Amino acid sequence: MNPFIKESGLICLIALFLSLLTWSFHPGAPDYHKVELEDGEILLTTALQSTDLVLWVDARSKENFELDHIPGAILLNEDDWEYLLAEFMEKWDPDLKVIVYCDSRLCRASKNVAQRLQDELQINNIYTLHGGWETWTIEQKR
Amino acid sequence: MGNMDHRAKTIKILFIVLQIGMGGLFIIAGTLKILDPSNFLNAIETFQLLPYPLAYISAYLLPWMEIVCGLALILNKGQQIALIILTALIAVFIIALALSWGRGLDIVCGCFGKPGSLKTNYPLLLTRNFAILAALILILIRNKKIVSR
Repeated sequence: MNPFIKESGLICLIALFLSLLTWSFHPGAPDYHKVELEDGEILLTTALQSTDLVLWVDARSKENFELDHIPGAILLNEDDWEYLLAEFMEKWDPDLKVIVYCDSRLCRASKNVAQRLQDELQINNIYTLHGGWETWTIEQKR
Repeated sequence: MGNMDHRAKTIKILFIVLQIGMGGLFIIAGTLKILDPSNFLNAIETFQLLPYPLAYISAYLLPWMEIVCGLALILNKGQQIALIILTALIAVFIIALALSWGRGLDIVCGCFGKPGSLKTNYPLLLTRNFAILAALILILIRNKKIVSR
């Protein structure tokens, strides 16, 4: 057999074997799933990589917000919209990228809040965080 | 004659150092990636070039290809094919970077593990990759000359 084919085959086989080992045993190995982003959603990685200044908006309940939240985030949910919106307006600036999050990928609060901010204040630079608070906490543990 | 020998020896040592250096560079790059395959998968996805199944496989396979080829360079075993594979990989990275730059994407390089939060510096990344490509091709040509003598 041509030594080049033999050597390249050997290198590929070793790399493949080690890849399979990593896939099987690496504690941080990602699960096989395609992230399907809905309209207006942003990945946490993308958000953290963004060079834009971000205003994080927590659309969860006040209790959960007070327990913990993304550093710098402000509370804005539909339970106390008028009051919290005034606080939001104090922090908001048109140059800021607004990212709203709720509990997990299954909640809709972030979508609702983002929609209202778009409709009522015509804010266009606004996204919802894919996976919400759950994704944030997972990322912090890694 | 003595000067020629000395010069040849110096060049030989320089190439050995360059080959080991390149090997080490790819071992480090591969190790940093494989320590956090999730992060590397995200980085690949920001390029928006590969379908998800291929990106997923690449997140595991590419780092190990770099490590195995890097080891081959250091151990001087199967170094020619390792050089060819690494040259091809770097060429693909350069094309991917150029395409992303052209499309105005804010990508995550992922070249050496977890990136900082700086905006993608395409000229710097491309210059670095072209320098690596040039070094690999130089070693490849020299090794070929030695073999064909």
